Amino acid sequence: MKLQQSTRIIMASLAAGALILPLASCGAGGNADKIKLSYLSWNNEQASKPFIDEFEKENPDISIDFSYSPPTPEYIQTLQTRLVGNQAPDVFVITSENKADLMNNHYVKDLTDEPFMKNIAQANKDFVTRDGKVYGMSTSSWASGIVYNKDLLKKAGTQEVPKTWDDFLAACAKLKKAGVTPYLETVADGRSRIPDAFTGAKFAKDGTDVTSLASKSRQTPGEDEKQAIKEWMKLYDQNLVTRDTVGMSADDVKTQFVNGQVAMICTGPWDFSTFQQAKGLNWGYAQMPALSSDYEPYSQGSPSPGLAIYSKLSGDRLKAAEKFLAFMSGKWALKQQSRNGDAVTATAFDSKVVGQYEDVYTKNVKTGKYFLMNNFYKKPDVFETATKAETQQLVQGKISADQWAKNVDAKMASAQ
Amino acid sequence: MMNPCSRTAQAAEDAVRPVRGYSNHNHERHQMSGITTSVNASAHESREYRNRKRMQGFREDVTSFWFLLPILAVFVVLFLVPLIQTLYFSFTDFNGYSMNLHWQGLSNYRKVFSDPSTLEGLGFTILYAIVVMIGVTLLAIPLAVVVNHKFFGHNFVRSVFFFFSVPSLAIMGMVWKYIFSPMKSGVVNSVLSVFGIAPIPWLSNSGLAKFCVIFIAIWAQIGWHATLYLAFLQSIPADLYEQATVDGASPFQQFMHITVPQLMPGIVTSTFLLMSGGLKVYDLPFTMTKGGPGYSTYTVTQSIIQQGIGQSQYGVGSALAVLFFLATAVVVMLQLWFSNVISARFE
Repeated sequence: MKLQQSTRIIMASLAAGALILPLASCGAGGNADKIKLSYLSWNNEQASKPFIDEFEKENPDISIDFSYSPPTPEYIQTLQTRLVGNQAPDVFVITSENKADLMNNHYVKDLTDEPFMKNIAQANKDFVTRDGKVYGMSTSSWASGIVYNKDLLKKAGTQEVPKTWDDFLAACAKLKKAGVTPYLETVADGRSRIPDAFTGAKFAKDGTDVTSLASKSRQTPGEDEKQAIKEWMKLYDQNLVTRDTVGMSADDVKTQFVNGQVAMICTGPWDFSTFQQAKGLNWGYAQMPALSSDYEPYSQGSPSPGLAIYSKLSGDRLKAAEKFLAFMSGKWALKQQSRNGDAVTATAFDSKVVGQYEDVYTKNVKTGKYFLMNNFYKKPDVFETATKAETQQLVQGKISADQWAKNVDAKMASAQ
Repeated sequence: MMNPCSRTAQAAEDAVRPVRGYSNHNHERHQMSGITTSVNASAHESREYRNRKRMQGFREDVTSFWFLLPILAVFVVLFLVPLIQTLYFSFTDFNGYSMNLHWQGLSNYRKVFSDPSTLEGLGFTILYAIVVMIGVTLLAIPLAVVVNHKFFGHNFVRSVFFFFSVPSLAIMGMVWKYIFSPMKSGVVNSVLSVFGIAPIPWLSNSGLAKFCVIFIAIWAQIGWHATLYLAFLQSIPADLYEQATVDGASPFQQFMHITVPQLMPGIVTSTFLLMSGGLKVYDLPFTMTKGGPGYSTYTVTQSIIQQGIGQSQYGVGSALAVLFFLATAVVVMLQLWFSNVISARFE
């Protein structure tokens, strides 16, 4: 079939038009005049959507370009690639593992004097503070504690988890005598949570400014945590806990507790739903024991990751980003976070938490009496991996607590 | 249909043919006119022939180049460029956040050699690669010989052994973690308790953890390599065995003097794959022990990923990657040389 030249041109134009039209309609939609704010989160779309929908409803001139990368290594690498490749998101998540790098490379905006930071708890500000400047907005926190099986404690004539470390060790000995496995923790997935709590209490008593620790030229987290490590190791030195914890994962330990095979374990709120669903499990959640009666009962805990604004943002997009953070620290967003199970720490707001968590929430989370070593030293990833490996060797009896501290500090020094 | 290559060859042949015809015709004339003219002309012809031949070769090279271009492009983009970039990063303080790089000289290389965890990782990687290579080879050959015989259900048995290697080692690691759990409730310990044996700290003891990782690697790979050997076994002529039987050779003598020498190309292939795979191992130890207890099952690949990407020390990670690349190249070349020497001895 032969077609005229003009017919062919008309047909080609129509085909090209058909291809271009849908593309053109994308740009010509309702979002054309809106300010586009890019937001990289590590919460998935399902979790983030209610917040985004409500924000866009309240701010019809702003549309959020949402993207997501799962925590933690994947998220950190995605953000890193986007920052280096000049594709930085306007708003993103700042957390323990990337905050030092973000601050060192000046990627995050100073939020210290922003009006929306007024209601943020001091411990949450300290988490992302460098040289008196706050670089992120974190609105909730978590604190670990001792989960206990009330029925098993009763067997050894104990009603509750002791308040001090010596009493805790004595209670473990009593439980062991009664034929009950007193306590388990994982050393396979990471270091124990107890030494961090002791170190936090020690820093608080000494009046140490924890926000200045990362600025020190020589990083000595090993030396700083040595005393706490020595105290914690009494669990193993007194043969109260099996050294097989080196090969036990957090899931293994949780399963043992749910099956009523161990009286106490150390974990956090993320495991509550499992305990609530376990049939016939009579459980409680207590504060971690204090180092001694001279110290306050601290917990291993941390503010949840915060939101940060890209430092090079300006004009309308900067205003939109500030509006978004103000919204995320507002009543509606905090209520929604609380409904999702987060322990909100923003001042003048009380989260409704699980009954068992009430004590730890009131005494540790709300008061900021929690501490996580990773949050306050340079190179938290190096610290995390070094302490895990060295702690496994310590529990195996291959090295002493002094060697543990020396090895951790040597690893930190080589990474600076 | 003629393919482009053969078409080119045909064209070249056609181009050469008239020259040969001309040469024959000329030869007759020279016989009549004199020897000198004949020598000059034939030298000229052979030069022309060589030139045409060279042109033909060049044209073929150009054609081959176009065929090789896609794979060459993939090689350059996905291998050569990252390799050169890695080499460059290994001399800098690149942290993944800033492209404002500073030249560090050999300091990243010095860090690699002074880090005890990396050296421990290197030790376990070499141990793993060598033991797994020897273990798999020693077990896969007899297994292949056994399943090469016809017996009831031999196809089923072959399939069962092959299936061990179908799931990825990462999944194997997760499953075996529960089997070798040091707790009383661990699968192996539960079985042992039936016989009154106390729980064994499988994954919480450094030595036992190394054993567990290597044991599973051997167990999972035997079937695949036995299948490889089976293919080589089936190509050994049966009359060799018949003659040996007539000569009174025992089954062991037949195995040592017929089967093993005939399997040598298979052994070279299998050990090469095992060695190169063993040196870059990551998935199995990571899913089973995450490199622990301590650094007992830590591997070089885990160290590269952990230091380079996990801890944003791309300089150190790159230095380690460069050194590992060179070390692997040397080990693999040595292995190939050794295999060739052994093969030559059996030929």
